[in-house]
Amino acid sequence: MSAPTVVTPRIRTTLKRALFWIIAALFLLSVAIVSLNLVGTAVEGPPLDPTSPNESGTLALAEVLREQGVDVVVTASLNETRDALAVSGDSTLFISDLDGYLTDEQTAEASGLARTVVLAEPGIAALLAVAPEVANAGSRVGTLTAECSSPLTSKAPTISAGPSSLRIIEKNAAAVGCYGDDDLGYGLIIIDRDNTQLVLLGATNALTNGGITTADNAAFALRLLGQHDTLVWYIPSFADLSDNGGIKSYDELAPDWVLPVVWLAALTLLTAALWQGRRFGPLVIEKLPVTVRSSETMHGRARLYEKTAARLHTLDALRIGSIRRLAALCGLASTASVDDIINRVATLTNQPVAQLRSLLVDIAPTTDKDLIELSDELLTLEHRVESAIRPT
Amino acid sequence: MALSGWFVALVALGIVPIVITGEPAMLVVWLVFAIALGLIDLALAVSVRSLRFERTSPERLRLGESTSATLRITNPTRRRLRAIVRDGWQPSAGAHTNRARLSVPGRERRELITALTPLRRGTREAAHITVRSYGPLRLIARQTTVIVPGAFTVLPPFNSRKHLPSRLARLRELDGATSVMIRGQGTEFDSLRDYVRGDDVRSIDWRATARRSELVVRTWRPERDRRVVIVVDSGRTAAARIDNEPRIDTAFESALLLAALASSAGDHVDFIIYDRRVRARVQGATGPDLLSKMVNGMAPVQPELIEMDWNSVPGLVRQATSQRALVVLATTAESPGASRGLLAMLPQLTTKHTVVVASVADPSIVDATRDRSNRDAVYQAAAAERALLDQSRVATAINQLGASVISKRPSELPLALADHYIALKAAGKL
Repeated sequence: MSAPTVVTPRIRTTLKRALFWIIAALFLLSVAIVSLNLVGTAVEGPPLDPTSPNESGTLALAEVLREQGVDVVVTASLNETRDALAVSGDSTLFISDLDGYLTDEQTAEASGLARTVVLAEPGIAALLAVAPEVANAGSRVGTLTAECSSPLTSKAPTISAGPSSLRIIEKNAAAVGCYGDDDLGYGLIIIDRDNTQLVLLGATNALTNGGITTADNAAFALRLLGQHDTLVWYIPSFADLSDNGGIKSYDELAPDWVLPVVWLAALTLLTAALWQGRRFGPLVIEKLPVTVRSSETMHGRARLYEKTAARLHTLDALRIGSIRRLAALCGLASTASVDDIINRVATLTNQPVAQLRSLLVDIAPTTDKDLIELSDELLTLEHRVESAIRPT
Repeated sequence: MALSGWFVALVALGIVPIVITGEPAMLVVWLVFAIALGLIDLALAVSVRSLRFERTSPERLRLGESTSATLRITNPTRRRLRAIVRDGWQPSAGAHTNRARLSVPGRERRELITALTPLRRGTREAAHITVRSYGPLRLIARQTTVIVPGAFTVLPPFNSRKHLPSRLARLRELDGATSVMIRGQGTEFDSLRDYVRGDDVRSIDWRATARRSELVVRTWRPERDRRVVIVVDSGRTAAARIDNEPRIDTAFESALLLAALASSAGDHVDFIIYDRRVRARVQGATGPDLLSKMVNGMAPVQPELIEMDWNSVPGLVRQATSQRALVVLATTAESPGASRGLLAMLPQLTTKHTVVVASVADPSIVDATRDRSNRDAVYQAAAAERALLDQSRVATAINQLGASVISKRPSELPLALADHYIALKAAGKL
């Protein structure tokens, strides 16, 4: 007994063989990561997001403001906003609650936090909470012309309109409408409070990356948001819901162990797959003998007859078979003529010769029904001859 | 390397500490623990490379019989081998189970017996052995495949040997050994003996009777030392299955029965399997040696998908014998197109030899002519009639060329061929 020949490679050998592919995979992965970081991706961000380079984002405005020395801070919750505003002095707060995360109380609180508070596209609930004298108007397109005397608008006579506009429903001195008119609504409404200037902005198109270069949008935007040294850009998010205490996310509701258990289940599944998927050694090779069905020619010929509806041909084949058997039954030689056979069969079965002749030679079937009937008649005739010869 | 179900269970068990502690980090801790335990177990498993294997398999057996192959596994290490062993026999070797649990203590040897019932004729091989060696915890196994070759030959079954005693009795009746001697049975003069009532008066030898005062009859015996050449066609048509048996197997059965009969009747049998090359040839063997050589030659032969080369057959027969012989061609005589080569060659053989074409008939064709139950069946019946007509045309053509045709279903062909041989022998036509 010598040492057996082993087929399975050692782990070291397997690793060596796989080394090229492992290195290639790592190389491709690193190339992908590096190129992604270099090129960046145009991810779909929310509208008015100061980090989004999309058409609806406001990255351009934020960058220009930064260059001009304004400290732009992006926050995602009211707590963060509060903290950010607490450390800075005079500042601008830009609130863009397009998804309506904030409750009325939160909106009211937020709109009193900074020296200038810009509320972008306020909804009905926000307006009722903050400025009940203002209501939503329809959407406007095209450009709007400044028709008020405010330092905010003096350098920007025209700005882009839309997507929404606002209307002052209560005439009082505190609210000043700009860019638009009473009938169709204003793009901008400024309300001066005790120590807060509340700006309600409907024409946010003027701020976006896509619209900042048209009309006097750039001048308008920089003036509106660059008033103070600090700009806090507040986009409310899910976190504001939990602060509220009313709604909790699934993450917070579930116990801590749920996530690791899900991971464990996935890993168990993976190990189970490895357990069951591991083949018990290589397949054993066996040469199989060829198998040919013997009656293939016969079936093929039958299908051919059927496909071409060769009824006469089919019947003739059946007739030849029957005649051969009848000749054998009557004791005639296989070379006997059909007429001899017909005469002999006629005497045996007492059937008229003409009838037998038409069945065995003359009739041509026109339908499949004829064919089946004639084939049955041929069989019946054979049975009759057989019983006539061998009476039981 | 192979994981076991226990390892999966161990990983799944991690749910207990995770839920109890409620710590997400417990997942990592548990995984590290499970993997470490598995690796320790793997390290404790006996390496398959250190094992020694020894195989004993049977040499040959007839198809239909069962046998067993033995595999001895020696564990030269000190540790106990806990393993599942898969013995890699080919599927048609008919291993009843090919996986066995095995536990071999250190420095000991165990025998693994695999019962085999082969399903097909030919050489059945075992390529390799795969061993999964587990550690004491049965978590992770070392899996290694080792080449330990083994093979045995499965011979044709020779089921028709059950007919042999009755046909041998018929042969002995022909021989002078029995008293029922009828004139005409055989042509070779055997001996003179006293007349017994019942003997054919025509066989009385008057000259011998005159010399002695009693009636003396001549006895005849069949000719001996005749040549029988059996040629089996292993070409395309031999691959067809009829009654769940390939034509070539039926041809082998017929050849074996005929050879057994002929050799005990004192004739010399030559056996050739041919398509475009000689696949097997048995020449000059007699007695029991003949049959064993024939089955050994037949065992590995499977039909090939090529056309039979009939032109070389007369040459092969000439090589086998220069005398007049009975040439049996085990082939298919079904359609005029496919039998053209056979028909073209036959005159060369029939001028010198007695030729019998043994062809396996398909009983399903005859059955199909009777079935007229629906439209499809009628067309089928017509095609079957046509096939029968073709067969009879080929048979007529072969008869006209001076050979005879035996066309029977697989179960009847060997017997029919044997009877034909006995009839020829009795008629003294060999």
